[in-house]
Parts: sequence; C-alpha cells; structure tokens
Amino acid sequence: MQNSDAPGSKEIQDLQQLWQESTTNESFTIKERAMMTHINKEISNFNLLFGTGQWGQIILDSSLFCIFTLELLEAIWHNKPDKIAFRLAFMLTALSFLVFHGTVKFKMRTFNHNTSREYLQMQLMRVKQEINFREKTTPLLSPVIFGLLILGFWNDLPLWSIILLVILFISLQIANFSKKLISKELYPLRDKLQSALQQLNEH
Amino acid sequence: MTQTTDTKSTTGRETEFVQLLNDNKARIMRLCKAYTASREDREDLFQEIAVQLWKALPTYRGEAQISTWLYRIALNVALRFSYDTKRRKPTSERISWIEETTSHPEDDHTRERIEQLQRCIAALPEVDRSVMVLYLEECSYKEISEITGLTETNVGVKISRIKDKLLGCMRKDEGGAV
Repeated sequence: MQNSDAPGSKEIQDLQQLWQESTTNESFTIKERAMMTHINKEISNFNLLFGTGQWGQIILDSSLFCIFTLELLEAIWHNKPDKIAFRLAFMLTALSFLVFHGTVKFKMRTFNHNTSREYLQMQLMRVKQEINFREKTTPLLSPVIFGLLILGFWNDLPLWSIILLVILFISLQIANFSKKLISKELYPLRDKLQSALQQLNEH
Repeated sequence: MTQTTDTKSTTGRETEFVQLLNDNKARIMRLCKAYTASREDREDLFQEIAVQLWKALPTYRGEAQISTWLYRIALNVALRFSYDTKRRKPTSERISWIEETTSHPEDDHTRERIEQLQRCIAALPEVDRSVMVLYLEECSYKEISEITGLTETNVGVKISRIKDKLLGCMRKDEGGAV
C-alpha cells in the first residue's frame, strides 16, 4: 500500500482526492447523430470499395453469371473441351460472388434500418461477411481458378499463354492489394462499428 | 448450433464489456485527460481505449486484477496515442461520439486547483506521468510495478521524486496565481 507517513503525504492525499474529484461531476452521453454521420462516411467508403450485399453488385454478378453460363453452354454445344474449363471457372466464380452478395442482401432484410442499433448491427454483419469471404473463400477459390485456367489454356496459342501470365500476375497483385484492404479498411471499420454498438448498448 | 453458441458468447462478452466500461469510465477519462490537450483528442483517446479493451477482453484470464489489466491497456494506448498525436498532421475530421457534460464544482477554488493539477501532471515526462496518474488513482506500488513493468523499488524512488516535483509545481502555480 502507499505510504501515508511520508513527508508531504497530507498534500498528496489532498491531490489524490482532487484528482478523483476531477471527473465526479462529469457525465458522458453518446452524440448519436455525430456518431452516425461518421459511421455513414465510413460505410459509403466501404460500399464504394466492396459493395457487399448491394443491388449493383448483385446485378453485376448475375449478368456475369448469365454470360458465362451461356458461354459454357455454347462451348458444350460445339464440343470445345479446351474452352469448357475456362468458362466453367468463370461461371463458378460469378456464381460464388452472386451467392455471397445474395446471401448478405437476404440477411440485410432481417434488420430494421430505422433504429441506430439495428443499422449498426447490419453494417457490422456486412463487414464481417466481407472479411470472412476475403479471408476464407477467396484463398480457396483462387488456386482452383488458376488450375482450371492453366488446364483450359494449356494447348492454346502462345499469345494466350502470355495473356494467362498477365492475368495471373494481375490476380496476385489484386490478392496482395486485398490483404491490405482487409487490414487497412475492414478491420478498423469492424472495430469502430463494434465499439459504436457497445457505446449505444451502454447508454 | 455453432452460430447460437457464438451469439451467446458474444452477448456475454458485450455484457461484460459494458459493465467494465461503466465501472471504469471515470478512471479512463481521468487518464485520458492526463495525456491529451484538447477535448477532441480526449474523446478520440477514450474511444481508442474502449476499442482496445473490447479487443483484449477475451485474453483476460483473471491472473491480474481487472483494474491492473485495464490500466495496463489504457496506459499503453494513451502513450501510443500521445506519441502519434505529436507526429500526426492535424485533421479536420474527428471521431466525436462521446459528449462530455461537465458541471464544474460549485467551489471555484476547487475547480482552479483541479485545472492546476492537470496542468502540472501534463507537464511531467510521459513515464513519470504514467506513474503519477496511477499513484493518484490510489494504485499500490505493486500494482504500479505490474502495470508499468518497473520494479517496486524503482516505483518507490520515482514516486518520491515525482511527488516533490508535482507539489513544487502546485505551490509555484499557487504562488503565481496570487
């Protein structure tokens, strides 16, 4: 324990009391509107970068899925095995994105957007889903896609080999970029949303 | 099934966190005051400490007292925040989620002395400030030693030296004020 017999201890005890008093008459309330304004700015940025569960993303993925399905059917119809693997890979990619964004959109409908708490919970769910998708699904999907791409183009012209290498290179760059996106964009946003929710729960 | 368990544990963690924050709000705010110059910074720091406590809560194993664990995290965040604040460029956008409603003590003299004490603490070097803040929070030497990583003897020596410095500063300020 602290020594109360030391010289100046009375003065120090007074200071301790004074120090404790410095927050006695203060209370803290959440500035809900300010918090929501800040969160909304971050969410706009998140929507711009990821668009998780948004109609625009669903329409884009649906269109891609339809295009690659038709392409795949065309390859099967004309019996072009070298094209099938490539188109199947892209169709599966589009499908996985479509399922992901569709599921998130469906889950978003269960939240009541009119209350701050549920709005924050919904945004937190979107961010967590995006993190899961990027951390778990994408690393599994990428090698499969690349494997199929290589198989599909194995017998093609050298020009395609060059294109494939370019695609591979760009994909790796994107993967690298997306890792930074997770740590720089998604984790901080998730923490902010969790913290904001905690503060709302607290008050 | 797993999701249900996860939801339950998250809800339990939330309750625990809210309780922790409620119990220690004033302590954290006093510490924030010691490491920040403006209200905006204080709010940011409070926010940052709350985030870090939330993140660290699952790692608390009950080996140390909850207050020791809390001070350790809060002080680390405050020191890093203080370092970053000195280096970062001023930004127009600030997180301002907590509204601080202050009703000053009735007694003007007490208010002046609190401000004076805060000024004197802010003038201390960062490590001394950490030790003194913990001392004013009535932590024992052992707790201060556990939080700061200094030996108990070193804490004792430091406190004795910082006390003199702080009292000197308070007297000087009082003299100046008169």
